[in-house]
Amino acid sequence: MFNRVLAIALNTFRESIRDRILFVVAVFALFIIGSSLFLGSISLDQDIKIIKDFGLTAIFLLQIFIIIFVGANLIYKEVERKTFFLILSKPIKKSEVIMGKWLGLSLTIFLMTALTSLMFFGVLFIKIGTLNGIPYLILAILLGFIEATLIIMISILFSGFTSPILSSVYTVSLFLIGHSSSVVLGIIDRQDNVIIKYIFSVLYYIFPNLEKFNIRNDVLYNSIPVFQTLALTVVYALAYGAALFLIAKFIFDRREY
Amino acid sequence: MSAIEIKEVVKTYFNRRDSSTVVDKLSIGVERGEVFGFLGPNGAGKTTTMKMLVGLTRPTSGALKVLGEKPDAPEVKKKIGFMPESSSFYLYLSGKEFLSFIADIFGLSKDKKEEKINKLLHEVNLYEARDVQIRKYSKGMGQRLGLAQALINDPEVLFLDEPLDGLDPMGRAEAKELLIKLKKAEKTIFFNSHILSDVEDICDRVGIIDKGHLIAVGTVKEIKGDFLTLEEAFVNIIKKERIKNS
Repeated sequence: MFNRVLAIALNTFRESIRDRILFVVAVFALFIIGSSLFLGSISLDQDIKIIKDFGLTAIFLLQIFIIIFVGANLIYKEVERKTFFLILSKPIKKSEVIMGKWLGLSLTIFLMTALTSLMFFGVLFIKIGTLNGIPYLILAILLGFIEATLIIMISILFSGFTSPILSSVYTVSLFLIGHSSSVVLGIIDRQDNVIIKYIFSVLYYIFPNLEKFNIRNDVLYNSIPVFQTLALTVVYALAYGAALFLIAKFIFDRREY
Repeated sequence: MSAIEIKEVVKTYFNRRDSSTVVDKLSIGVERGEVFGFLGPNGAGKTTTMKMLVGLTRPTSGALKVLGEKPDAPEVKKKIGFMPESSSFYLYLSGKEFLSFIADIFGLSKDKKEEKINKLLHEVNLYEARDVQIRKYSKGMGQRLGLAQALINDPEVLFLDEPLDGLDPMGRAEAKELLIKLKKAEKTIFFNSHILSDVEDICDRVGIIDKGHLIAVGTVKEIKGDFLTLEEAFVNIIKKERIKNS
């Protein structure tokens, strides 16, 4: 089983790193990181903070853009180009294809994240001449990567039954909702109507709470979450990812080609 | 045991407003080592039948068996080869990378994989273009790659949807030669084609389907009857059937 998942993953990885769109996105991220040097130099005593802020945001945006532009196309392109006809007539399960696609795109994002992070740390080192604080930045980037792997699964799920454009729209919507969990909590707190309160509570637990993975601001102010919180965030990602995988598997198993 | 058994198969596609039956009460048996040509006009139900035979889609009713098992059984999928119509590929991969990927799905060992891929690339005359990205291949090269990937696991039963489509006369002759070689190796081949002169040369038996119904089945000689070519006989059979049903 693992061999087949790996074969799909390596194929997805190879296809996506040869896709030109990836390089456009990567150059864009590198440009933001590079320009943070200039912006840092014109700010008053905030240069290090601005470089860190821009670097972390650029890397996160890179991950999200790759998912939106490459991930949304992932399954749909296979059906459109009929490559699925070739693969699914072979001894492979649809769940192995989903897992392989997820792993392949995660590998691509990991590689691009590693490359842009190296540039980011290089810029930082040039500016401050020390590697102090970099482990915390790595932690923030890693949590962003875990969030990205979760969004990949969301994107695969949507691309299994809708067009790339709609899949991108749904993925971005879920991403935005996922980062607005505090707003939903606020609505629940302020609401007196029990039914509305109940509906929003259900929605709060159904939609992914992506803010759990955002420690970028904390890192900028040297406030790092405790180990237990971080461990729970990873467990949350695993549980939510598993649930998304099962839903995607259910959709793909019912689908005919 | 027949290599392929299709019994009373119906395939109906439903949408919100209506439904359309593309295969209707189809029954065919193909013996082991037989080359069976599945013929019919566009939209007759040939590709849908083939998709059901390789487990890509399920019949609405009836039963299909390949090598005695349901087509979606993993054991069956290990023993079949499938070349879809107008094969599509991962365009950024080279021909060799693509075959390597398919070989990995079948779990071929590294040594066996290398040997098999090189042999197939020579057989379909793509060895020189093995490292070229598929997006730069011509249609004929794509067809030959499609045929190569269907043979990677040395299948017992081959399903080929329009394998000679898009090939130039040289390519067609080479592909035909390869199919005849596979026939001699006693592989069961089930294939759809519009090029009836080639069907005549390769097939033991043919079946003709129109609007989802099987309207004729028999040896090439039986189907041809008094006609000089299979093509003439085919056109006549279809016309007669349509007049009968009008």
